[in-house]
Amino acid sequence: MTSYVVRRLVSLVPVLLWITILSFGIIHLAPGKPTDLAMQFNPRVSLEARERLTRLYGLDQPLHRQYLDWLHRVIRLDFGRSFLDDRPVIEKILERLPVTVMINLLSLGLVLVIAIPLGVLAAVRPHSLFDRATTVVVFLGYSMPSFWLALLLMAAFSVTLRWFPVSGLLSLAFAHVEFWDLIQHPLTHLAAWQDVAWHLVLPVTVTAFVSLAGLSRYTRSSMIEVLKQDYIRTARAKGLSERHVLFKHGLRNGLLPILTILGLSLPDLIGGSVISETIFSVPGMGRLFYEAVMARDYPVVMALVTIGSIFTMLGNFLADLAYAYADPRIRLSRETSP
Amino acid sequence: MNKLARWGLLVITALAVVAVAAPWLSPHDPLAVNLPEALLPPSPRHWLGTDQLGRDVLSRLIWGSRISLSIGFIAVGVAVSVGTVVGALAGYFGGWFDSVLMRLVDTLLSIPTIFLLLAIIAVDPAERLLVFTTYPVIGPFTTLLFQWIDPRLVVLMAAIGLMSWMGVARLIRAEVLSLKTREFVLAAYCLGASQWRIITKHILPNAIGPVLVSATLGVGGAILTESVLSYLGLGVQPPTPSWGNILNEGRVALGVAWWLTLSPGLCILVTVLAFNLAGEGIRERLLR
Amino acid sequence: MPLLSIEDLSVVYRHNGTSIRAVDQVSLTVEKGEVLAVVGESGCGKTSLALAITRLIQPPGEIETGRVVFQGHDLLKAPPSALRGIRGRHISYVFQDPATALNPVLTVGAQLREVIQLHTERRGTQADAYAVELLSQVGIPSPSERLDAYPHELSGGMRQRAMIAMAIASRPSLLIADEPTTALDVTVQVEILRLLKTLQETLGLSVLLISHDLTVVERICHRIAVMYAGKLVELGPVEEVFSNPAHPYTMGLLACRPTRAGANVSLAIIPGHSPDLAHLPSGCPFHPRCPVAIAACADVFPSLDEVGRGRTARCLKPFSKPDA
Repeated sequence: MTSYVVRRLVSLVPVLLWITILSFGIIHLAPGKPTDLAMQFNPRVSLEARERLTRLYGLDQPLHRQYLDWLHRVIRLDFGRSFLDDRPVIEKILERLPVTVMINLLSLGLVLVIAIPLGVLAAVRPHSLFDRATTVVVFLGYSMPSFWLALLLMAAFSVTLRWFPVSGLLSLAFAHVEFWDLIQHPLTHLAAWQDVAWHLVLPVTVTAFVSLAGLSRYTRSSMIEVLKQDYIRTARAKGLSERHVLFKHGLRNGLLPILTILGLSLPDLIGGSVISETIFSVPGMGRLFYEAVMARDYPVVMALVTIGSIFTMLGNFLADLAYAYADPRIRLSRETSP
Repeated sequence: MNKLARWGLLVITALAVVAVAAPWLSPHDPLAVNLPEALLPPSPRHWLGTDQLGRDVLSRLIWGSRISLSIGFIAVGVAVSVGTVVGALAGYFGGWFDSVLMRLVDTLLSIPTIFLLLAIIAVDPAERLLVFTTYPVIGPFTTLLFQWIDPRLVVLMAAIGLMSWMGVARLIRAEVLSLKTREFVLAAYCLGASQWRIITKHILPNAIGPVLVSATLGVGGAILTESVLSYLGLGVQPPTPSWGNILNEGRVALGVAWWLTLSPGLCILVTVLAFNLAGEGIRERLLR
Repeated sequence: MPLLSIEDLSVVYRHNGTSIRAVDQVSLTVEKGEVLAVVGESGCGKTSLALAITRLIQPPGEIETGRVVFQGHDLLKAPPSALRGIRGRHISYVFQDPATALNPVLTVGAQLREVIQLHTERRGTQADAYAVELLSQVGIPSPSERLDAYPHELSGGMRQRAMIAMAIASRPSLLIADEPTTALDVTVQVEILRLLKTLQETLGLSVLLISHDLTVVERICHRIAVMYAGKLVELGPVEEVFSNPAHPYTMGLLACRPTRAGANVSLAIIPGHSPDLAHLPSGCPFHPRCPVAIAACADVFPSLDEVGRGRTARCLKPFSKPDA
C-alpha cells in the first residue's frame, strides 16, 4: 500500500507543474501588460514609475524566467498583490476560503446522504415506478442550468415566501461578527451560527442539486452491476436475508466506484460555487474569482486557478487512496507484487 | 429505441428547424427596442411578454436558439476533433509521448471548468484573434470570417470545446489501445497496411459509438456552459440574444417580470434534456 | 423416502415477449447418502434446475410449476423465512467459479464466519476455531492464517475448497455442486472430486452434482440423470447407464469422451448444434441430431418410460445402436 501511495504522489508532480504552467500561461496571453492595467487608474504615472513597476513584476525578463520567479513565489504562497486594492492575494483568499469550503462540504454531505440511498433503492427495484420517477428527476437535474434553479429558488423561497434570506452570509444584525472569529469560537456565537445556517440553505441546495443527479444515477448502475454478480448468489444461497445480502455484500462492492466518482465531481463542485456564491452574494472564493475576472485582477485570477486546481487534484488523490484502501485487491497486491 | 430518446431526437430536430427558420418564424424583430412597451406580461401580441427595452421575448428566444445550437455543435466539433487526434496519437504511439499527453489531460480535468473558462475569457483573447487579420495570406480570409461571425463567439466556441476534448481523448485512446493488439490489426499490419490506414479503417470505426454518445451529451453540456457564461456577462454579449443573457437581463426584474426568467430557462432545460435523452438512448442502443 | 423429491418442475425465462423453458417438467429424486449426477450440454437447464430447488431463481426467470419436496415440505410453497432456514443449513451450494462466487472485499474467514454464525450456535472464538477446523477438513494448509486472507490471495483450488468448507459448515443433508471443477486446472479437479467423495462418505451427505464432464461423473456418482433441452431424457445407476446407455443422446455423450485409443481414431462428435430453446424442434427435441431417429420422432414427444430396473429413458427406440 505504501508503495502505491508514494507512486501516486509522484505522479501528481507533473500535474502540479502543468497546472502552474497553464495558470501562468493564460494570464500572459492577456493583451497589454499588467503594468498597463495598473496604470489605468492613474494616467499621470511617470515613465520612471512604469519602469520601476516593470522591474518589480519582472516583466523585462524572458518568459521562462518570469515563470520560474512566479513559481518560486507561489511555493511560498506569495501570489502577489491584488490589482484592485493592493492587498496580498493570499490574504484575500484566506478570508473567503472557509466559506467556500463549508458550503462545499455541506453540499457534498447532502449529496451523499440523498444520492446514495436513492441510487441503491432504484437498483434494488429496477424499472419500478420509484426507479422511473427518480430517473426523470435525475435527468431534469442534469439538464437544468444551476443558476436558473438558484434564481427560481430565490424567487420562490426568499422573495415570495420569505423563508430564507435573499443573500449574503450574515444578516445586518450580525454584520459585526468576523468570520474567522466565528469559526474559532463557535459556542459563543450560536445565534450567529444559526443565522449563517439559514443563509446557507439555498446556496448549498443549489450546489448539491447538480451533483446529486449524476451520483444517484451512477450508484444505481454500479449497484445493478454488483447485484448481478455470482457472490451475491452465493450469499443468498447461504441463507442470508435480503437485507444482509444487500448491505454487507452488495454495498461493500457497489460503493467502491462511488469513491472515484466523488473525486471526479470535485471540479464541478468547486466551479459550482462560482455560480451559487455569485447569485446569493455569499463572500466565498467563487465570488472572489468572478469579481476578479470582471475587474481583470490577474494576480487573483492566477492564484485562484492554481489553488482551485490543486484542491481538486488533492481531492482526487484522496478519493483514489480511499478506493485503494477499501478494495483489498488493490491494497494488498501492491505490497506483494515484485 | 427508447421512447424518451426518440422524443429527444424529435425535439432536437424541431429546434434545428426553428433555428434555421428564425427569420421567418419570429413574430417581431428581436433587436427592436420599444421602450413604451417595456416589461409587458405575456399577451396575444407578445406571446411571452417583453423585456425592459420593450423587445419581444419570444422573438429573442427564437433567435437565441441559433446561438445556442451553433455554439453547442461547433464547440463539440472542436472537442471531438482535438480529442480524437490527441487520443489516437497518444494511444497509437504510446511511450513517453502518451504519458505527457495523458498528464496534460489529467491536469485539464483537475481544473474546475468554470475557473479555466473564466480565466481564458478574462484575458480577452478575442483581441488576440484580430491580430490574424493583419497576417499576409490568411488575413483577408479571417477578416471575412470575422465579419460573418463575431470573433468573440469564435473564442467562446473554441474555449468551450477545449474544455471537453479530454473525455473524447480518453475514449479514443482506450479504444486504440485495446485494438492495437487485436489480431485483425496485427494482420492488417503484416499485410502491409500503413499506420494511417490502420487507424482510420480499423480503429476509428469501432470507436465511433462511444464518441457519438459523448458528443451528443456534450452538446447539451456546451449549451449549459454557454448559458452560464452569458448569464455571468462573459459569453454572448447583448444585444445579440442568447438564452443565457436574456436570463441575465431578466435577473434584475425577477420580482416583477417572471416571464423573463421562466421562459429562457425552460428553453435551456428542454433543449439540454433532449440532448441528454438522445445521448443516453444512443448509449443503450450501443450496449445491445 | 427420498431426501429430495422434485416433481414436474418447470422454470421459464421471459424476455421481450419470448419465453424460454429452461427446465421442462423435470422429475427426479435424491436418496439419502447418494451422489446423483445431472449431466448435459451447457445451456440445457442444469443450473436453473439446481437454483430452482431453493427458489434462487431471479427475474426474468420464474418457477412456473412443480413441487420440490424436502423433509416433507414443498419448498416452492414455503414462506421466505423457512427457505432461508433451509438454505445454507440443510441444503448447501458449491458454485462453479470460485473466483467470482466469493465476495472479493471480504476475507475468507469473514465469509465463513457468516455461515457459522447464521446456522450454528457457535460464536466468537468458538466460531473461529470451528472455521479453522473446517478449513483443515477441506485440505487447506495453514488454515488459521488463511482465515484473514482475501479470495484473490488464494489459488483456484484453495478457493473452491473454501467454498466447500462454507457449504459443509452446517452439516447439511444435501449438497448441490454446480460444476464445481469446471473452472479449475485438471490436476486440481481430481483433488476436489476426491475431497467431495471423502466428505460425502464421512459426513453422510447427499450430493447433487451437476456437470458436463462424464469422467467426473464416473468417478464419484451413484446415479446419473441426463438432460437435453430442459427435459430429462435418461435416468439410472451410473454403471448400467455407462455400460448400456438407453437414450441416443447419452450414447453420443459417452462416445465423445476422449479415450486412449490409437492415433488414427478421430474424435466422435454429436452432429448439429445445441438446440435453440426458443425454437425447439417438434416431437423429440433431439431428433434432428439423432442417428437412429425414425419418422415418428418428429411428431411424438416421447414420455419417460421405464427401460430397466430403476432406469427410465425418454425415447421411442431406446437402446438402438447406430449402424457402425
